[in-house]
Amino acid sequence: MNRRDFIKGSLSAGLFTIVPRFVLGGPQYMPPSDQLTFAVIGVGGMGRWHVRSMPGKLLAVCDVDAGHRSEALKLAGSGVKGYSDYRDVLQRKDIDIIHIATPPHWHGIIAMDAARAGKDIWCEKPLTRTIAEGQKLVEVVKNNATIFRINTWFRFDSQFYGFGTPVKPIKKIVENGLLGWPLKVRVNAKTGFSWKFFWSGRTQLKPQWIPEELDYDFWLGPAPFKEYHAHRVHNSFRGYWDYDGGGLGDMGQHYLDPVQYILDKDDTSPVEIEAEAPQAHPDAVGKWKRIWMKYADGCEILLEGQGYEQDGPFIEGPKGKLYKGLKSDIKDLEKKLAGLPDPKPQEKDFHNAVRNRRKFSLNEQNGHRSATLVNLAKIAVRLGRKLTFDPQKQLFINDEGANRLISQPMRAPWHI
Amino acid sequence: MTKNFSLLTLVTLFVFWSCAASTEKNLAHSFDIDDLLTQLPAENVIKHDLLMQAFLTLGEDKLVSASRHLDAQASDLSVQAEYAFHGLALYVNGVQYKKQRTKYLSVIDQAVKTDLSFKSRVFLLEQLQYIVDPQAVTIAAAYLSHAELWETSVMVLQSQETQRAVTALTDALTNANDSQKVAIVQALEKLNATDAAAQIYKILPADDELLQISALTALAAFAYQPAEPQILDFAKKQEGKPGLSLLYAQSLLQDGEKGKSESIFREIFYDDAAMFNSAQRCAALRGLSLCIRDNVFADLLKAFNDDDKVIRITALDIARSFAVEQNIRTWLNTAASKSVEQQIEIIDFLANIKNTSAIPWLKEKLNEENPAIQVSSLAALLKIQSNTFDQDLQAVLQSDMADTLSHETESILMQWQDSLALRKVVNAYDSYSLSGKKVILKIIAQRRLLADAALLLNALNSQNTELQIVALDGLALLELQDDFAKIIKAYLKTEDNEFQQQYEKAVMASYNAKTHTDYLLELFDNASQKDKIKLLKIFRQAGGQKLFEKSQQFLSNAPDASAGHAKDILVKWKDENALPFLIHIAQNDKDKNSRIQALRSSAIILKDSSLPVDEIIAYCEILLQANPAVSEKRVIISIIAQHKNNSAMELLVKELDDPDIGFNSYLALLSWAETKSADENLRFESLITKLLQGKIPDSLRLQIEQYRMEKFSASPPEGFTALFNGLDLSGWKGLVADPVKRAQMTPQELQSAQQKADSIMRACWSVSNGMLIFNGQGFPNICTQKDYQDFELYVDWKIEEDGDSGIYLRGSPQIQIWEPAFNSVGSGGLFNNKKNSSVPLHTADKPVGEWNTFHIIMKGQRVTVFLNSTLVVNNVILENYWERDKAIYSRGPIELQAHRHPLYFKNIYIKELAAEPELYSGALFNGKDLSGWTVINNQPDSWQVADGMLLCQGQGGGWLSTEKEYDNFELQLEFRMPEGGNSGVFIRSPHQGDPAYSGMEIQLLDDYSVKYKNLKDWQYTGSLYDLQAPAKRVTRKSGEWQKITITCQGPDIRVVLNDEPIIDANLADFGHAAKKHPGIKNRKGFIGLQNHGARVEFRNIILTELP
Repeated sequence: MNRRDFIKGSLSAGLFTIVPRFVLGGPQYMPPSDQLTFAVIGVGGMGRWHVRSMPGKLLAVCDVDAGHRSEALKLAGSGVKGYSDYRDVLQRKDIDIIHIATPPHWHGIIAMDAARAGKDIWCEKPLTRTIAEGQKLVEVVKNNATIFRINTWFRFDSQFYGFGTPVKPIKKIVENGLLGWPLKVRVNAKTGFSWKFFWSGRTQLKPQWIPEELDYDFWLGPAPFKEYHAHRVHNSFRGYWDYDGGGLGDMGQHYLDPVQYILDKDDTSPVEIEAEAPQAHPDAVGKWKRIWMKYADGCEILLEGQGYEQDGPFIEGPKGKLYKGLKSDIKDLEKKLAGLPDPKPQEKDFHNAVRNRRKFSLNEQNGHRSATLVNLAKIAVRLGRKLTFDPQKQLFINDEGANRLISQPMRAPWHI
Repeated sequence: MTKNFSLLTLVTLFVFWSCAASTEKNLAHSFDIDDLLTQLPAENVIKHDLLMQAFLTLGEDKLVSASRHLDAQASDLSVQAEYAFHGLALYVNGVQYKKQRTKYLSVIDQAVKTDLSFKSRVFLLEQLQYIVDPQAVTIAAAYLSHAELWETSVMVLQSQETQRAVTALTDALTNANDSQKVAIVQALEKLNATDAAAQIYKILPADDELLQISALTALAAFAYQPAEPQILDFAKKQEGKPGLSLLYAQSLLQDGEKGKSESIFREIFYDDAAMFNSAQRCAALRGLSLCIRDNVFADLLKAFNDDDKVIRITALDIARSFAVEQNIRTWLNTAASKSVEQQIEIIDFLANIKNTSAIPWLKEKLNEENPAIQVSSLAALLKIQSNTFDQDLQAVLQSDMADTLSHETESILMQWQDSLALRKVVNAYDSYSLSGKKVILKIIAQRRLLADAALLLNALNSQNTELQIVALDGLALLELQDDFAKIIKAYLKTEDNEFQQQYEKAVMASYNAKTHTDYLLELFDNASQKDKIKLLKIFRQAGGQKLFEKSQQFLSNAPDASAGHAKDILVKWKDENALPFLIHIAQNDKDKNSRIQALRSSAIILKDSSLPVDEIIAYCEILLQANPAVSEKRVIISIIAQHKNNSAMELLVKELDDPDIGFNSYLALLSWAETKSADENLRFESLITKLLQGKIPDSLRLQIEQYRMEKFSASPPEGFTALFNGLDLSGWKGLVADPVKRAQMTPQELQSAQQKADSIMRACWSVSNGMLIFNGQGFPNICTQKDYQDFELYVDWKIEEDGDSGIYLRGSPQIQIWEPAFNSVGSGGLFNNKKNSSVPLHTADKPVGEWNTFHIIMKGQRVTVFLNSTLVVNNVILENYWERDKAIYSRGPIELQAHRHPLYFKNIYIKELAAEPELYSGALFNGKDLSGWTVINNQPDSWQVADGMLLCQGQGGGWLSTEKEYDNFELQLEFRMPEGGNSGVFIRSPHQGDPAYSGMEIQLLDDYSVKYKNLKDWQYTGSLYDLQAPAKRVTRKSGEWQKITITCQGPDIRVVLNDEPIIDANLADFGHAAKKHPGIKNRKGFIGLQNHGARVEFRNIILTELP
């Protein structure tokens, strides 16, 4: 598909959108006092941020670590109940929204259970630890009429890290064809996309006593049993493939979701992926140098882990390049930009979406697609070989071995 | 470097690579498996594949034996073995590697059967999940009923989507216990193994609730109809799982059983609605729609009456897929009687189906009073793209709705891609309401609709001030140079100060110096006195020589009243043309306010001036002489500080004398220095030193010294002292040669060498801003003047790209500092070690250019290093680099290594540790008496000494304990058993309780006595009693002397009996037994010998304490 077809496509797909300012929940308007209620599952560092900062009325917190639980309860104040089993939280009829801030190996299971329990969901990134879990989650959310948001926001808000600008003007430039097509996007450590390699795992961990406050078996849940070591859990779990995928897991979806949006790939995925990295350890996440992905129409994404090309463009097409802070080799870009139509506005208020039962701008569908980039990158790093992917079937082509990482086994009794 | 890629292996690998398979056999003998292992992890995929190929040339037996490395205690290649076995699993999957895959699988098969630890066997078995081969299924399936490995086995089979896996799982179901059944059933469900349904059905009813649910869930997912009564009953049960019936109905539908599933969906949605949550009812309604398709409309219409918005929205969402056209009219009629909220829901629905027949209805809705309905209708008309949409929008803009909907209409017009239609909407401007007009004016500016810019210009003359302001804001965006005259004329028409700022912005946006200067001059000449003043305000913004000259001319000739105004304006002039004028005013004007303003303006102009730097500095100097107020002086100092050349620096140094701003000048100099390189920092530092010695006011000297003390001086943590004071090099010296050479020098030689070393060091090391800085020239190490023995040291360090350094302890190299990217491992390793580990455990470096913190502990010969709070060296012996055959020196200086790249250090703090008490090593039993021992729970004479032996008399029980407690040690002793004898060695035991449990016991026994023939493994000699059996039976007969060595180190317990290792245990593995054996958590306690009713003899009891 060339750029012109793409524009035509988007024309026929619905020219305008407006995001009404009105809150349409109640018979007239929702009075401000009528807040939505929520619970936070997993109240480690990230979960306690949800406890402190999220809109709505908090009713419950849940963690398999009694220490975390009491910390969160202290923060939360009165009227909030602590739980150790998230399924008990889902039983409560007075809770509208479930916030999921557990390690990623739990995201899929809890989200699906929450959807089936009739809850709306605000889920931490990365959406799911495997592609298959994400696929299933999309189906369950649709069937159960859940309103879902993934907790990243750069496609509609804030300066976008190493781009040195919000995403909106970039989307506008791309959508109006100023750069031509196809495009190549660099997500470069050196310009400000930190890959957080300190989320590395350790090998040869000597087993340790399990702290009394932690229900380690529940913490592991669907993950294969491994003997306890403090480094496997809180604050450092991202260093182990069983639970996440290092800095890719932590920051990947933040960095890649806006790229999917800019390239208009919300309903598809790359077809080729290759990583340049030292051999990966089976358990401990390590480092990588570069990860390259290509879509069927020729668009490319390059993740640079070490940071090449400090002054290189972050996005380039046959007709022009964009550098950090929206510098460009296109003459009078600013003026040209002013005359162009805006991209479609996006819903930025999740509670609005919940009340109106409308899809949020960052939902399970585009969220699954951007998490897929993260999961593809993880698989490429683990396997070392070049991979070919079928975005429709969401399976690798002619590589059954690689497909074993698309859907990974779960430890009973946890399953999806 | 740390890991040397063996040259031989490298050569062999490349030969191997280039000769490919034909020489495979010949090369097989060339690889040493340990040598290959040391190459892992491979740095890149090419080397990875080469190594994996090389591994696969080796014999199965060699590969099986390599799996021994996986057991951590047995090998320092265990991580490498993990890389190898995992790497191979991923590698052999390719179709072309059938032969290699068979070999690898056979290796796994054999290795899992060996006596490796549980953890290693799980690891090997887990690798099968990555392998696509029927043989992998067979191997994993063999462990489905294994007491320990079944869980791993089930997980492996979960990934194998083959009939073979299904059959194996189904077969295993019969004899499995309940938790195994749960896992197997769930695995079968995941594999969609409908064939297994009949077997799973047999499980029902299960006593175990989890098993019951798992089985029912799988059967529901398989739509297994014989189980229907059980599924539906259980779903309806109190405390049951209503979701089961939904799942069952969905599965039935997938199997094409529409009739059955329809009735279940109906039950869920209607009859049993109270049992289900709205999510489940939504799913049921969706299921129902898939059963009966277009006929679902009546149900949807009913669902739309539900109180639950979730249900209503789902109903409308489903309605989008079935018989849309036929039913639109019904929806519209329904809407009439509904609440506002429901009306909006229908409007949204109409928008989503994009059906044009709803347009007239929606247009009517635009006129509803409720703004929410208006917004939704407008949004719907937009989405449907009615071909009269531009007219609809115009209608909105014409009416009062434009006010409520201004945000939305603006958003629409900002997105509009059809520029003709957009123009059409804009062109109807005159017909719009006030709010409508405002929207259009904004859009013209933001979309740069230059052809319609006239509307903005016209709006300037409108009577309505709101429109004027919007127009001015718009003109400020548009830069309409051709319309400059129009805008400025409008400006001159306004009353004084009305929208002055907006006008100035709008005028300046359209101003072009080249084309408009002359016009402005002409306009000025012909203007009234009042307009002239107004124009001066524009002149000031526009700047330039001609306009300034004209202004100055006016000022000098103007009548007093106007001159006052004019001067007020001109002292705010904004470009360099006014500098002489402004400086003149600043120096000479009678009016204080004018002087201040002129000075400020001058400062502003100078701040961004493109004049040559020396000229700027000269102006600054003049301004400083014009006696400015303190605040202006500070501004001027900051301007000078921007220009970092010598004349600026000199001026700042001169201003140090000024009591008002001396300190500011100092800070300016300081900030200037902070941005500079190490070398320039040095220059700054010497300047400061000179300053502090030279003639500056005492008050300033005090101020500077105090500031430096506060900002830079070290503040060590409690118990530590600073090795570096943050201010100068006191406490440090240059390094002379090395310890060996220094020892050979005479005092005179050493003194002169020291002087020379100091002067070289001082040329290259300096202190600035609290940092100890090396300028990157050569290799002159710096070292402490004092020597240290045992200590704890903190040091912060920073390197630049390619940087390299190290911390020498006791004058010996070194704790490595370097850039991890180029060295495969990070900093912190004991780089020069040969026998002991030289690499850090982890790479914990911050990116180059950021500060890192070492926390170093040196005790005896051993060193522990934390880098950025990560343990990177764990109690490793530091070898003596200078004299390889000797242990590390007991004392010496701390040195910082210089290595041709700039380095930065700060916060260097030390705490000297009392040298550790020497660890005990020697005889516990002196051969003469029981000194050092004490009898517990028995008569003192139950233990006796005879012929240099310690005898247990065998009466009364109890035990003989050491007087001291020990934590880590190696205990060696000899013992002789009588026939049928029994005794034991207690370790880490308290004096209370049964020491075999409150501490731990290593059993001593006459293993061969008939009376012990029925004992368990873990009761024989050498066993860690009741916890771990000896690996083999090497006990000698009663009456023979036997030797036992017991080593306790942290959680590791090792026993060697008669020179054969028989126990190698990690206490952490016994978590399951912790209740019965609280003693396994002890890390310290008495050592004892058991009196178990037998006359046992002991001799040569030697204890070595371990760190």
